[in-house]
Amino acid sequence: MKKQQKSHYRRYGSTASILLFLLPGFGAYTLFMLYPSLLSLYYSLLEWQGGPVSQAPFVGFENFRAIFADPYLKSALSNNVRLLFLNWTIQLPLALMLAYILSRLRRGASFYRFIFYIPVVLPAATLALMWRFVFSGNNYGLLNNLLTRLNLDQLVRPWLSGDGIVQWTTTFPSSWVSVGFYLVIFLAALAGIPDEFYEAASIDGANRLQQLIFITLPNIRSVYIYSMILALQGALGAFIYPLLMTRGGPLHLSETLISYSLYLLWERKIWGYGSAMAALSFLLGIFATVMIWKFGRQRQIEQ
Amino acid sequence: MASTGFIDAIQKETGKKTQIKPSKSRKESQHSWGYRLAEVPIHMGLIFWGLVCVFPLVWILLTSLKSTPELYRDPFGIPEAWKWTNYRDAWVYAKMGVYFVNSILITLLSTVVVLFLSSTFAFVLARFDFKLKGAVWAYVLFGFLIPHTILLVPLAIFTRKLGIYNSLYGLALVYAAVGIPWNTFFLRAFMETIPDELEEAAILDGAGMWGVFWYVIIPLSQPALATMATFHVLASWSEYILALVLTGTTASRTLPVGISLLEGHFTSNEPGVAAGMVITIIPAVVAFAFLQRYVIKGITAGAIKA
Amino acid sequence: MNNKRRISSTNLTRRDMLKLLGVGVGASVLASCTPKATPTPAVLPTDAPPAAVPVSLRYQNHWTKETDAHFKGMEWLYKDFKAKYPDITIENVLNPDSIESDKKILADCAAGDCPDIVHDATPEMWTAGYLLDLAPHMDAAWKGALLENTFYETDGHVWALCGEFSPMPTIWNTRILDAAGVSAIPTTWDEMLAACDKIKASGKLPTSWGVGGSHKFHNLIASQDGGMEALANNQFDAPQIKEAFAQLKKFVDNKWIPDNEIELTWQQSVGMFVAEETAFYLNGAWTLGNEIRSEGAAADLRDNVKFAPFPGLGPNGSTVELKTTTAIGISKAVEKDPARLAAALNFFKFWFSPEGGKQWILLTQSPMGVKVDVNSISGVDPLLVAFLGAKDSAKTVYALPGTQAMLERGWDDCWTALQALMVGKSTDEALAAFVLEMSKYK
Repeated sequence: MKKQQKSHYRRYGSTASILLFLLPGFGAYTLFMLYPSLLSLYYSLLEWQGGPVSQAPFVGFENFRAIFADPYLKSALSNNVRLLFLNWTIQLPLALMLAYILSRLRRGASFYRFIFYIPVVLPAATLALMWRFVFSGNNYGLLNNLLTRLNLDQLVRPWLSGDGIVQWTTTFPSSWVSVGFYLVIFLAALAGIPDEFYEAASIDGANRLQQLIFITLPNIRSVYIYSMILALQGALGAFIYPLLMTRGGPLHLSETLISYSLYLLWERKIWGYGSAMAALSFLLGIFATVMIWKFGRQRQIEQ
Repeated sequence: MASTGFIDAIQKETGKKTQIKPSKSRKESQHSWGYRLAEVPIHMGLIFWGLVCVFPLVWILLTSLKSTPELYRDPFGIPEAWKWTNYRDAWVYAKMGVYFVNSILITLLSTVVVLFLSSTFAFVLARFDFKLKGAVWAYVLFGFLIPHTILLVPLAIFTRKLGIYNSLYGLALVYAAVGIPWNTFFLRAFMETIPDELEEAAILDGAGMWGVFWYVIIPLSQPALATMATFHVLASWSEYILALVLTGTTASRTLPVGISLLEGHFTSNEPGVAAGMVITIIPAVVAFAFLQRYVIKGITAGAIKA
Repeated sequence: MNNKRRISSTNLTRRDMLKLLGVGVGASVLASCTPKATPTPAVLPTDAPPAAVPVSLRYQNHWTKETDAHFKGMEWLYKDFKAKYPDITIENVLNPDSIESDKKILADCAAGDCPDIVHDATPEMWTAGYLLDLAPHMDAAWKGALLENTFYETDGHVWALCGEFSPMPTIWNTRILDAAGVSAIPTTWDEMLAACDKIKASGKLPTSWGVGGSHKFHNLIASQDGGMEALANNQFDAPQIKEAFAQLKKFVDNKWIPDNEIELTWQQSVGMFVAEETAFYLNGAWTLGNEIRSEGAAADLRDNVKFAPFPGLGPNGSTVELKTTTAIGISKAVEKDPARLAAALNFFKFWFSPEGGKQWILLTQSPMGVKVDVNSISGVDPLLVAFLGAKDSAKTVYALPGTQAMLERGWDDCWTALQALMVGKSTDEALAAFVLEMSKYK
């Protein structure tokens, strides 16, 4: 369990100094991020389809009512959920497993860590372009090509256009990239578990598996929860791969909330409604984050 | 500062482990033959994953040397004739003399600024209790959900009002601002793990808030700061959409925007674009290779205190 | 000693940071010393600071890119305009050629900083009040030189002129037709269906839609009685439109388009024609430079293409669409200064003139919305003449109605519906998707 006390009673520093320290970061963030996004939230309350904002009629929650009647909302939201599923059930556990393996390797760990992190460094445009060619349904699509050569013709699929398929092929790249990112975080967390814990456990006769379950996992708990929150927020805000790989996929099948919002904003130029879609994504994110936070806190208290 | 006792204490802390090394107590078991044999398939699995991770880099390199029809005919093969002219074109449009320098300046400047803004913010959130602290924290986390794209039009208007449109400083400031949520998040988590004793030692020596911040917390946070700097550098370097909208002329353009000039809406030059991407990626990968030392040093040293 | 090493490691970090700052400062000093306007390998004055001249106009566009089809035209324009009006400087800003570029111009305008000459103006810019109404400034002489049907206008206010105006005939690869045993280019729809069968049987594909599906879609509508009128009245579920989808469905059912058409981009689609995998497509005169005579095309492709009207489906017979694209306008803000207003208008009058139109055809192969007799220009590419002349044998030559729907969505309006067809939905379902997509405009 953590040894540090989290409650820092005010031993020094005045309220004025605290405010002074808060101000620069708080101010810049509010000015350049919050204020513009609040503006966009405001736009979501208007029926604005171009033209000066002042002339756009205020329609309150009409846009949001329309969102829930939008036939494409369900498919967009389901793609976000798919990404979340991939992130939580495969990406994070995989990152943790790789981190665990790397932490126990005799050598080569630093090298692997560098390599695994590279996709995070590459721009998404590059990766999306590549994955588009990999999954292309043409003769030259790499995956289909490979399958044909391996005489697995029956597995050949329209990866970028098949209903039920394209939703996964456009969410997979985002999940894959971030494995390296969480790997680095988990590696650090794992390295932070003091050796004494393991020594004590092995003296008590615990084998490696028991050590893993009873020492390693509990000690990285809060890092894992933080990562789950990050992954959730990544899943809600994802848009670049559907956008670049399939432009939202056939009939908006592979859209996510934000990519659909961008489509509404920039292609159909329905500014009010498009902003409302983006606003929905925020609200969901806040709600879900708060839920996880509470859940995490509760379990921690129980422990 | 009257005494420097706390500096010694800090140095004791930072001098700790910086590499991923299995601890001594595990080393014995790892020399057993069972362990060595098990390692082989594990390494194979790791190498496989590593190949998948490196593949995009190789692919973009190969693609940049093809011609467009060749790309569509055989996107994953070796180019027949190595079309180095793609790089010449990309170099011309990348205006290496100007855009490259601009990108470097903006990246460096915004990194310094964001580290300052975030560390002051995180310091207070990590080490102090005050009313509305939870609210402020939620306020910051909210920033994670804001995609850059919805900031475009409001920022375009706003930066002009402030007179920082189409300037390196303006763009750097915006980059710093949008990096605050992530940086504050991580720095706060790190700063919470600094032992109270060091803080108390400094206070006993007569340090005020700024003293504690500058002489205790910051030095101890080097690793986290280095990590955050790395993340921020990598993100700012290839950022495109904000750079496009918030700069207007060659003088203030960045590399990714310059590269995008190679594209065409109705004409295609994907290999040319690929060459541009390579020009953008290589410095990033090199910088990462160089900086990851600090990243690891940082994360590991920091995580020890968790 | 241990302690000593650790002291230096701490100090080094702060020194490192200072070093970094120093490097940053040094670099910025250096950067400000280097000449800001790095000359491009062209004659164009890129971002040249005005040297004590009365007027400077800003023009943001992607046509001044070296590899753009319009580059030579822009070169001529700037040079000759400068010669005629030495006091006026056009500050050229090269923008990326992409949707992002539109976003940038929109964002600039929203911030009250429209470029003076607006490239790719849109109807929203007019309704938002960013554009100058050109109508009051057009005297009879100037108006007479322009093609009135290419004006971008709303309620009599002309907010932009047409930078690219071209018929869009059907472009056929005669090599493929010969190999398939198609003796004559189809002129009726039945002939078209028969030809497609033969082409498919010979191992090639009749066509690929890419984004260009809308061209065929609009032609099919125009060929039917009352089709274009339905579009003009935003009657998106009209029977003519349904019929167009029904015919396009045949291309899906008979596999006359590539199997993975649904994921193809415009570039890939038109690339298939260049690679001589498909038999026909439709596009404007700019395609001659971009595709037919491009690097990836066979050297003799230009000798094996024929241009013809789109085969007729209904009583209106064979059709050719006249495409008006690339709206170029003037920012309303220039009105405030009479000198700038005059300068901007002079620029337009110089460019959109008989001489300008002629030079444009000679240098870019891409006509503007200006009256020009192509046959009278010496040295013009015969391919272009044939291309532009193809519409003469069409029974119906039409342009899309200038409704907001068509202005905003004309290239892409039926794409969602076509995708519906490609995933196996029925004509009715495709029509419903079309109506939904256009529901904003009802």
